[in-house]
Amino acid sequence: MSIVGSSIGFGLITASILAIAAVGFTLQFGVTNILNLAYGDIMTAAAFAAYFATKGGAPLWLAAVAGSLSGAALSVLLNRFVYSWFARRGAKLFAMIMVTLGASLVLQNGMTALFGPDFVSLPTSVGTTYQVGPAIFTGPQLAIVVLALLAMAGVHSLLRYTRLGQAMRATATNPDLARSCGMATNRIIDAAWLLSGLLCGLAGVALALNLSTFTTGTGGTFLIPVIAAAVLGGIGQPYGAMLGALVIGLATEVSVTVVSPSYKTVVAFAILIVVLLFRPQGILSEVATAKEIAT
Amino acid sequence: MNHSSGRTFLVAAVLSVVLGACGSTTGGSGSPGSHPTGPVVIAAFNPFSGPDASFGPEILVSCNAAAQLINNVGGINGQHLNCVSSDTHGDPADAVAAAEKLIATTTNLVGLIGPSSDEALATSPIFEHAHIPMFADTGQAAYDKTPLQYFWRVTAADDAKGNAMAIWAIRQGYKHAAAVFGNDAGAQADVPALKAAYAKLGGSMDTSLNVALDQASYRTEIQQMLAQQPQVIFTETDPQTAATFLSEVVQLNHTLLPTIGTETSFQAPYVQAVTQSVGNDQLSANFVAVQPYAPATGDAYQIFKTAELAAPGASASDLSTYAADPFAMSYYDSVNIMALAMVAAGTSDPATYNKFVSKVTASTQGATKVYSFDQGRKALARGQSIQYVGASGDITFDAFHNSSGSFQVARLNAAADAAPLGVVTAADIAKVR
Repeated sequence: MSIVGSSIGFGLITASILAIAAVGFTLQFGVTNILNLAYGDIMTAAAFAAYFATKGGAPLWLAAVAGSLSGAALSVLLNRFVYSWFARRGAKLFAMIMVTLGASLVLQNGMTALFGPDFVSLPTSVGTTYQVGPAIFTGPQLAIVVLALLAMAGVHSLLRYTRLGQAMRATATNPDLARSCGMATNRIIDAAWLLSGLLCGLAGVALALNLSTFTTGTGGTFLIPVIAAAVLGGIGQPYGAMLGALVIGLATEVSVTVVSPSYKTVVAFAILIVVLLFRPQGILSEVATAKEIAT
Repeated sequence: MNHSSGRTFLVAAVLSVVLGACGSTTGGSGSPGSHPTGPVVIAAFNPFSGPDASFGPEILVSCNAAAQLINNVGGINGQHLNCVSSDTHGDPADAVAAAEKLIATTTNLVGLIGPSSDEALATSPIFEHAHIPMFADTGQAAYDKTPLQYFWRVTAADDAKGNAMAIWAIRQGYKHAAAVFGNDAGAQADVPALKAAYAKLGGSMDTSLNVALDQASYRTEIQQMLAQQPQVIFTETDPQTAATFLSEVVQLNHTLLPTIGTETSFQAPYVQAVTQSVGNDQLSANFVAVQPYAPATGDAYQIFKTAELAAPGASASDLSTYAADPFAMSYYDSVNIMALAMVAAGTSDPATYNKFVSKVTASTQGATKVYSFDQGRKALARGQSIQYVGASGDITFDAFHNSSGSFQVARLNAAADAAPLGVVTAADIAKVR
């Protein structure tokens, strides 16, 4: 029982990182309908930004801010100068996926060319460990969980209580109608990329902290569980992404107590497939709609 | 004969002449018994990208080191030797395409160094069919008794490496162990022989984990492992997985357990990743690894070292690492063996010289020991039989084209200078196989 209890605790850390990343991913997809395959590489770029900030003498918290802002800037620039260019010229869903794949390859190889293939790490040490029930956590790990909770609370507040949040929800539902009602959908889309990028950057820094060392391909590897969490919860549904991240984060850790750890990823995706068989729209989404790229 | 049948006859005659001139193609160098002209090519067929991206460059540098010495004395039967790279990406599907492209587009392809464990099973049949000798750097046990005639292995098999890990652990008094290996083909090849040898020597493998690579967390696995109180961890994973896993061991156990890795642990990316994650103090106090043993002394080694340090295409730091790496020595020796076999055969045709590979390395009565290509070609020119003794030591191929050897155990540290601790000999390994 204590192994299961501690695995739940460990799964919460993975779920926290997944939640930050998946909410950012699904927020952007919900508004723009672009499946951004460069998302994982933006996470990596943000981690490197944090790394260089620490090399410059910045404390870890400031480096995390730098990473988040880097993620935001990169996301906005990518949309402004690459994705929206293709969207305005009528690129459909599959073509946009290819564009984002190209962006991913450019980003990853560009980072390798700039930073080299070496492994780097953010300056953390095990330090004091904390026992919470049967699980043992380090300070950075508890910080990741707290950050995730704060980020989710922030997203909830934005979507529920601000005009921007309402506008984003309206644009996500029907961009043409939102535009007809006088909403500046271009700015709302920019805001979606900005917010998504902030969360992406924060997730990248959290991932780098959790793994203890990373390289230019690290974020790309993490993208698949991020997409899985977003799809599981209902693509375009931020609350669904939170739930999906929790399910996948816990499932991957708890499954090790009953099956071989080599099936870790298999279990997570098996759950995804089973859920989609019965609810193709995901756990929280009411309906699966076919939408065009928002411009 | 009317005009129509005459034309038909003429076309048929022209076609038969053309087809006859083309001949059959069994490899990059044309049909058996032919004498290709122009430079000959040996390919470094290995990952140059992906998780095992460090393999390919080391092979290419070592190939170039050998090629420079060969070309400085006139080449192979008067033909210049070139080394080329062929990136398999460490993926079997990509490697198949790379192999087919290499064979189809490389003029005078006479041999290759590779494939590695990442792609050997997928591509060795392709090169066998094309009659291209391959000096593989895979340790997979599947090749211990291979029927492939063009497959040669200068380095010890993985299962022998697993035996060496078990022997060393027992020597240190570790009777309870945990095995933590990645779920990739290369790492898994070590496991059966490790378990069998460890059990045979009285050890108990209390935990055996096949871990999925590059996961965000291994804490549950580690908690399960620590519950069994192992005295030592046997491990082989990729650098990212190792860094995450070992850092979490330190988190949950407050210190790293004694750990025995494999030769992949000495690769620079691995050392860098785990040093960043657990620190050099923990690493050098607790982590040792086994790798094929090469004495790093003697005439052959000195010639190799000089050539390797002067080879193009790598930094001074990398060259220094390669010059002490038994794998680099084996790659260099592989080129020399192929070259001497071509000289002995009098041709660079792979289907012909392949039969001479074991002849130029066998320890037969009256054979002259040679330690370089130049020494070997001169002895062959005098009509002598030769035994090539390489930088990696004596090379004796068995009936299945495998050359066994000893293993060195060395301590891992941030400087990656593999401080040696001891040797597990081929005789030690033979006792547990």
